[in-house]
Amino acid sequence: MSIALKELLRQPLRFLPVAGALTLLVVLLVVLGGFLDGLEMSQTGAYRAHDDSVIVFDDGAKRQLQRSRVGVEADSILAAQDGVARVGRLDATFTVAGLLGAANDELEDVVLFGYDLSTAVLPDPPPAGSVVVDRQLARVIDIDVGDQLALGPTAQPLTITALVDDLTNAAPSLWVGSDQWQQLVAAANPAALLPDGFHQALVVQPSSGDAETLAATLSQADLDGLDPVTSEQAIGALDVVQQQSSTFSGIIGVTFIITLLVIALFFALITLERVSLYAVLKAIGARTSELLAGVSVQAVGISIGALAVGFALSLAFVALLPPELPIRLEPSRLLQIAVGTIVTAVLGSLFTARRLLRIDPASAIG
Amino acid sequence: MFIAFKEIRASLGRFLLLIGAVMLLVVLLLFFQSVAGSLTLGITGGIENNNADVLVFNERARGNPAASFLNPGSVDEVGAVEGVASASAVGRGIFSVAGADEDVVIVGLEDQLAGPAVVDDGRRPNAPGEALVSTTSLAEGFAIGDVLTVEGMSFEAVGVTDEAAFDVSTTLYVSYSDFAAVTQTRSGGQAPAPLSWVAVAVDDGLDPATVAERITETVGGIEALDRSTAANELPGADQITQSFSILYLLLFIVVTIVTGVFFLILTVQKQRSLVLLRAIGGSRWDVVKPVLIQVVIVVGLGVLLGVAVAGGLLELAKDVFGSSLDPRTTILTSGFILALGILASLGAIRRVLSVDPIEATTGGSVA
Repeated sequence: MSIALKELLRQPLRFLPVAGALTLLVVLLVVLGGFLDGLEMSQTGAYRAHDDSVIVFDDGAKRQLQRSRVGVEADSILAAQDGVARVGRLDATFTVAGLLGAANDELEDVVLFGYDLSTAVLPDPPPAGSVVVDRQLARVIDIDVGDQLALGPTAQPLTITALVDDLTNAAPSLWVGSDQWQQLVAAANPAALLPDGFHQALVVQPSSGDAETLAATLSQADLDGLDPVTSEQAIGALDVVQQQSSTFSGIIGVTFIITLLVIALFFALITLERVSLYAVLKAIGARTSELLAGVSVQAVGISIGALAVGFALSLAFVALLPPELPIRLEPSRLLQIAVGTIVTAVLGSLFTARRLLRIDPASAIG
Repeated sequence: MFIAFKEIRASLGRFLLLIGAVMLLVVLLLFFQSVAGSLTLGITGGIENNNADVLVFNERARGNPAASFLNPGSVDEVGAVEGVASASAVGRGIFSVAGADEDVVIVGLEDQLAGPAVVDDGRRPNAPGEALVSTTSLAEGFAIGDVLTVEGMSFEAVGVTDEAAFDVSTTLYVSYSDFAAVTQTRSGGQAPAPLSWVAVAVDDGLDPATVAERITETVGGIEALDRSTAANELPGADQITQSFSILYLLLFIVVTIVTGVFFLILTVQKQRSLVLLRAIGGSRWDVVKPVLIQVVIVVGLGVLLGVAVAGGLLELAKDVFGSSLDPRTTILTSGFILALGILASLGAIRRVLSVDPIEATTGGSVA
């Protein structure tokens, strides 16, 4: 094993081709993982902002906000349930927004939410004429707290009171009080208005315990026509998110198989060069398992180098991409890729086992 | 050629590994291209395959039909502009269909000018409660005779048109009065039916882009775009193209590097044999030819298998991804990968060409 390490350290150029190919595959894996997380997180920010709450849809809406209509009378029914501290409204619609006075080509698509309850992520609803803004919008257009936005086709002015991270929900989101939402939508997107007394969903916050327990309690209560779920369950019902997730996970899996083949290919080539050396080592008593351990150590070493360079390249590459692209580098995803790459590299290097086993020590003397 | 084939047969495992890697990379590439194509068409199809020469949006909508709302008087204002043959109102909204998993886009048409250019099967709606349906390959399909219930109102599919959907969703083209009815039912009567955009036919012989420019200059608060510009400016399509382009770029680079490095190492390993070949009279072409043949065989087989596997997988998963291989894209991609493979082998070829036959007698020690 020490010979293998010394070879890796003293003759790194010998391993440069495989390290280069592996580095590119790491960049590909990181970018794919970035898209997977970016797509999921950029479509679920509003749900994740309600991690500490239960979201109540109408039971025919299949947990889709835009399909759901909950009558306002459900508010008092839910408030009367055990374990319920507060009940608020939640509505959303798509429109456009930009800095007040900005040119029309500087407008961005946004999703406008109306809400009543603050959460661990969301501050209290802003007063009339004000808006809480997803920080993603500030990455796309130059805005800050105190600036005025113009909302929708009628350019309704709104003053920004706070910028909050990670609220993107298919588009950068804007958050206003529920009553104000109704007035703004009547002007900005009248086709999205619901009948008087109806909202897309209600948000219920527990008086004690967690949202999961409250969701389970409410599910067992006799709440006719209502479907209380955690934010995680609501995200799980989003078909687009689930399809994207399974597609990209499959693609990442295929990329790991490519990595396996590439590593196997290059170690097969490297091993071929050293057949006579391995024969000598075997002749002086080295066991095949020791030779395999050496190859594996080299695979791990190359992987670590490729991961370091690949991660650095990926960070630089992603930083160069336009901010509107849905790509997010999450530490947990990078860790998964690192572990997966090392394991794949070791497995790939073990493809040489058959050749190593077949080396006859006697061939060392011709 | 003989040597090239013999070597592949002798080292079949290594060549199979490379073919496998190229095949998987091709599968990924073709898969990305197919899905990106379906998504883009699902977004732009409704505009791209529309009858209208020019579409007029609210100036703050940036050409986004979902964000555009106009004053009802806009239709007459646009119709009065020189060069406009006719102008008609279009309304658009997203609605839930009773009993279906997905939402549909309903497009209300004042007249057929604003509808899809082509009806593939059946006919256009000409009575209340009738709809022309356009499905996308990524959304639930409906057939002629199907009845969809939206906001308590039933629509019978009387015609089907391909590739004319909005928002990657099944799209129902109905009369404007039906659209107004479902919109008002949903809002409990509190919202008037919105006018989303105005569809324009230009006078014969006039350039739609010129007329669009004239409309924008003449009528306040609107932006008129010719059909092709409107399709190109739809939000979302560009983002999809950019995202997938990054992945294509990375995959093309990986194919090139893996192929290039493989043949370079292979060449270095057989350097002595190549020196001998040259020393016994082999020409430079004699030693370069096997490398080129091997590159074409390995990359060509990888591409062929990749096309077969990608085509099979997309066919099997048509319900999920809704796409199949586009022959033109597949041929172009395959040719490009083959060209990249040959380009990648230049390092190995350069090495082969630098072989000096004199090394056969000196072991390479002559300067």
